[in-house]
Amino acid sequence: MLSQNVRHPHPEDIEQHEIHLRNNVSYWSVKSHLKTCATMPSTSLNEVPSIIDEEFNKVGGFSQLLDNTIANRRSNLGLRCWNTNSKPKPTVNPFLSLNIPKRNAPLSHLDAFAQNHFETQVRIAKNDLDKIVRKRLERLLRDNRISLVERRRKVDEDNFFVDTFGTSCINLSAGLEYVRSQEHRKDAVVLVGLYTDDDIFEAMRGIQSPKSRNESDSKKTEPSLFSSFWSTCHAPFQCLTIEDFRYQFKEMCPNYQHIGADNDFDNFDNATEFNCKLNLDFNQATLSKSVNNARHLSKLGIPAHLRPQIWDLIIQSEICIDLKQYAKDQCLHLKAQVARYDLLIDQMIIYDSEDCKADENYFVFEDMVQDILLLWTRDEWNLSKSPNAQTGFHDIEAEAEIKAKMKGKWNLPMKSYPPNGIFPCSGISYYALIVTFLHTDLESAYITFRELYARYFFKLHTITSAPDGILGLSVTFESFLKQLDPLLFLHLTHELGCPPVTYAFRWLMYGFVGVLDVEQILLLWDRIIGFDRMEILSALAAAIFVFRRERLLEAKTEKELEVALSDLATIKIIPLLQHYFFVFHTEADTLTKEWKMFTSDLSNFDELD
Amino acid sequence: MLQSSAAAGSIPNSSYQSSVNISQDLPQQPPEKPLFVFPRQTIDQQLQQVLSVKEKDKEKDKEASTTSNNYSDSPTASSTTLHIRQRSPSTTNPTTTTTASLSNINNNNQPTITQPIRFKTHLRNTVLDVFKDRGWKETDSDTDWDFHWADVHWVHEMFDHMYLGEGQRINHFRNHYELTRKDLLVKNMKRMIKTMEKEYGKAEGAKFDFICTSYVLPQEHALFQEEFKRNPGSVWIMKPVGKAQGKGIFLINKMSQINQWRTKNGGGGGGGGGNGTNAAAPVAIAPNLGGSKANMAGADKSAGGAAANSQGDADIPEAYIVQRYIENPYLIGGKKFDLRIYVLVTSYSPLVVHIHRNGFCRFSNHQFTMNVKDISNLYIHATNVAIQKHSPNYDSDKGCKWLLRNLKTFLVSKHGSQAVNTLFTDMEALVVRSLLSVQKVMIHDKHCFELYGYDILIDTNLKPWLLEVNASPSLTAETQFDYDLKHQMLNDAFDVLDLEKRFTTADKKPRTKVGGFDLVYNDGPVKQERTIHYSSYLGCHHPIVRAPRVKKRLEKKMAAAKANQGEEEEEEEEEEEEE
Repeated sequence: MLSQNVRHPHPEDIEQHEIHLRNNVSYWSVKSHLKTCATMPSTSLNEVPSIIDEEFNKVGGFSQLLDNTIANRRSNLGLRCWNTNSKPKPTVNPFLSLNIPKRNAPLSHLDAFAQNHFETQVRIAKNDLDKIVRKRLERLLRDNRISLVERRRKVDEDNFFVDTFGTSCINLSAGLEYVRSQEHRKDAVVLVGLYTDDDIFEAMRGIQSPKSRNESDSKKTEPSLFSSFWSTCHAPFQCLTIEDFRYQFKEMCPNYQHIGADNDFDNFDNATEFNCKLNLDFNQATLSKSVNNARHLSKLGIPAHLRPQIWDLIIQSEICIDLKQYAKDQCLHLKAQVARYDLLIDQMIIYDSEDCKADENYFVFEDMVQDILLLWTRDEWNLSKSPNAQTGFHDIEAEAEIKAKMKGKWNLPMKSYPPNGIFPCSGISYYALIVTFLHTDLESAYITFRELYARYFFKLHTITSAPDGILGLSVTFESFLKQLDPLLFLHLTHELGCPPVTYAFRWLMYGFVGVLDVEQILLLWDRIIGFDRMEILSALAAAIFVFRRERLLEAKTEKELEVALSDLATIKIIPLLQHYFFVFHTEADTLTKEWKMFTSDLSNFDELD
Repeated sequence: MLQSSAAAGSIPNSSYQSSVNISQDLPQQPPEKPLFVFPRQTIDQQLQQVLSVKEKDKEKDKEASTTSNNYSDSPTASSTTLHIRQRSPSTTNPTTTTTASLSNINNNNQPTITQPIRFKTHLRNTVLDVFKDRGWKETDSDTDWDFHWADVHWVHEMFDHMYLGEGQRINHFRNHYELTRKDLLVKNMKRMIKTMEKEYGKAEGAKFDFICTSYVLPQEHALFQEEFKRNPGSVWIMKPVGKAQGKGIFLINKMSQINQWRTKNGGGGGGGGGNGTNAAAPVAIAPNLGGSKANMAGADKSAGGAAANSQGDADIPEAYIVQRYIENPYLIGGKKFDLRIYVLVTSYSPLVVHIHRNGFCRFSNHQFTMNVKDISNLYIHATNVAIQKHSPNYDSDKGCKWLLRNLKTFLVSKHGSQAVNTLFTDMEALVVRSLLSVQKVMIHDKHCFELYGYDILIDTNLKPWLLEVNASPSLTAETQFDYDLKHQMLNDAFDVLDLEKRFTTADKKPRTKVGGFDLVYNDGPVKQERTIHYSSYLGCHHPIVRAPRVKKRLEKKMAAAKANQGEEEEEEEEEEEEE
């Protein structure tokens, strides 16, 4: 019955699709729901098909869920088809054969040899980083004699089941608090994340732009004017130009009314009107549950109170009828795991989340962040969904050495270590902070975090040859800054010797968390989710540099530079982006004039020397 | 040379810049020196000129005030009925981009002061730094000062015997306790509700109902007993009327507990029992009351001076107030919090109220629960910093102040902007209504002003409750962020008072926005530029500027805290109290 609705006529596939569907919980819940509808005593046999049809196609019904998931996966695949560097595997996945929107592959301007060369370099850099991580972990194990996994003692485990609110759920915070109080931090080993932003940055800097095999091709491989001249990051991406940005992100234009720019101007009545209109639009979007609709609106910003629902609608990759219930079911299982065993990784996460308690905006959510991340490390969902899930020890059985280090005789259902397959980088809690302002309950917050991580966050600390990995973003940032203000770029890179990307890197990597005001970060992620593009991060970083232009040009030392780039909490990002990418342009005259002054100064400088 | 030519490059000048809040990027100049320094010999001459100008100004003032009431857009409403104003249905955060930076205004105004303001204070914390940063001079003289940041004891003892000169200002009203003592506040509010009901009907009276059901003990014991029986299983909180920082607070849920307390408190020697449950031993509360007497005695000793003080009047049973405990506080991250809002009253007749935008939330360090077995754990139920400091979870590096702006962002994503605007406007109304209810009894004095610290709690229905009003809110900073916040707030407060006469215009009209302070009531609700939709500015974005100096005492304090916790606190925490 259901399989008929999947738009695939090949009869031999249908069986496969059915197996796929049967694996989904929602399939069964829909089926039972339809069954109850159809077998209601009041209905006659003739009405059954129409009732089922109605139930199936109603707003938020199963057919829409399917549509949404297809739309969702489509954009995912569009992003990833060149990410994996291999042709999409011939699977039975019904969604693959759908048309994937084509985006210009960023390496298409290179010949095959150069492409290959570059990708090898990226792979080497990535492997090097992985090796460093493993080495550190091994040293940690050796030096401190800690085991990778440890079953909790019965007393400790019991404390997770303290029912504070008279419900029989597992209370993570209570349990952890107890465990911590027991330990007294006796070993006091500080376990920082296995790799930091510096490690990634170093690995990234090692990548060189590929050279073409034959000299005659040099013109072809020579990247466009802005991309690698003076750059710190060398990657032969065809970067967005400002014009490209204007075209591809046309909804960012000031002609559109934006939340975060047009709703808090002094003109109060206009703003009110705008807000009313928006609320209507969004209520419709939430009601209709259509991803495409929601995504379109998200490009213009989402009113705060609808944000949780709309984000979930857009990013949810699972087909589920009742997201709340789904979240609860998922977390119940994971919480039990947290109560059962203690991972070495846990200590890193706890240490990392303690970082945020020094921040006056986020300290409230320290516990929540910790809980989210603990659930996340134990979630095997990531193994299949998160593209960077290979960084952990993925084949435990094969690595006897690792296996030996896992204490305990109990039956450990662990496919890889950590169970989610990802070694956390330091600062991972920054990502979780974003969702804490959205959801009050841990379950919903966790599901949102999980989806966001698998879609966006992982890119920010994984070295890939994809243009929206951290490497691509850094290159794009440099290119944007060079286009917006070449003088500033030159000044920072060559006179101060502090390439701007060294400062922007942390902003990019942590998605501006801790740098900008909370509200602004949420507005920023609205756009990222709406456009499904990460380049906005680069654009924003460049815009901030240009915005602080005068102070940066005055800076004479690294310290002054840092001061000039601090205190960004007052910045409003949407007007800033609109200004520098849609309105602002330096006239050619002024640019030449500045340039002349600059070069004459340079020559004077040389003479003086 | 290079730098300067580069910096001279063209500056993009666009209308968008104004919205990007560029003003914040300019380094703020603290007004450390008077901008105009006259040559020595002509100072007197100049002074006389200035004075004569001032005289003329005053005459003009009088003329202005008598001929035309030029308060064009300050709406006049009856001072007793504060109407709930219409609220906007929008998400608007009215943000004003211009910040009154001192340096700008200095240039526009006549230099009127050549002599620095002389101040007197006994506090050695943020207040002192703010005075110094404004270029004021400290004085020891008892009478010869322009500005006295006094503690409440001084006000009680000295104020009545003093004659204050023309320009002298002091930071308390003579009978400030009408508002800040818990029992008197309750009494005044009850009276206000009665008058409102009589004159304007039940609905108007209900608007003043933002204090939990309260009874003063021992006087109203019978009434309380009746109410308690009507609500079996209810939880009540006991607070000594005249103490702050959570001293002596405990929760009860059985009548027997109060009887125990009464016998303890009533008997001569037992006086210490009630007092013993103060800051030094906040956990030793209700259930322990009967049992560990020795424990109490120990607590008393360690409490040192403060306890000795209260033991002096142990013969008189200490007055307590018993209040219905709010069992459904709004929780964030599973933790309870209350709000601290700074309110500056520059005059009671007419009532002029400013509220600072940067209030903050104070969190408890433990997950909240109404479990009966945890009812005596004050670390869960009280949010006072003074109590939380002793919590095993307390970490001095940890931020504990969450700006109202964050609260607003958080709440909006849960409840929509309309509900949140209503809440914040309600809080503003609460502040003004509480002040209105003491306006009649307060002895007005043009020398006085008062900076109150309002403690407000929000319950799960987003209704604000007034917990108490502090006459001397703590100004000791815990962290650098805290320091910056308080420094800025105080600086803004002194800008409002304007002893330097930098801002005072001829018509003496109060400015609607000074730094983070918004004028909300000036002999009638101030609606400012917004005409139809009104929502409070409270909690709106007001960037915190780095204070001109690093908090010096922070490091010293931390070192001292490690050395001996007990003694140091007595010195540091003496502020937030009255009576």
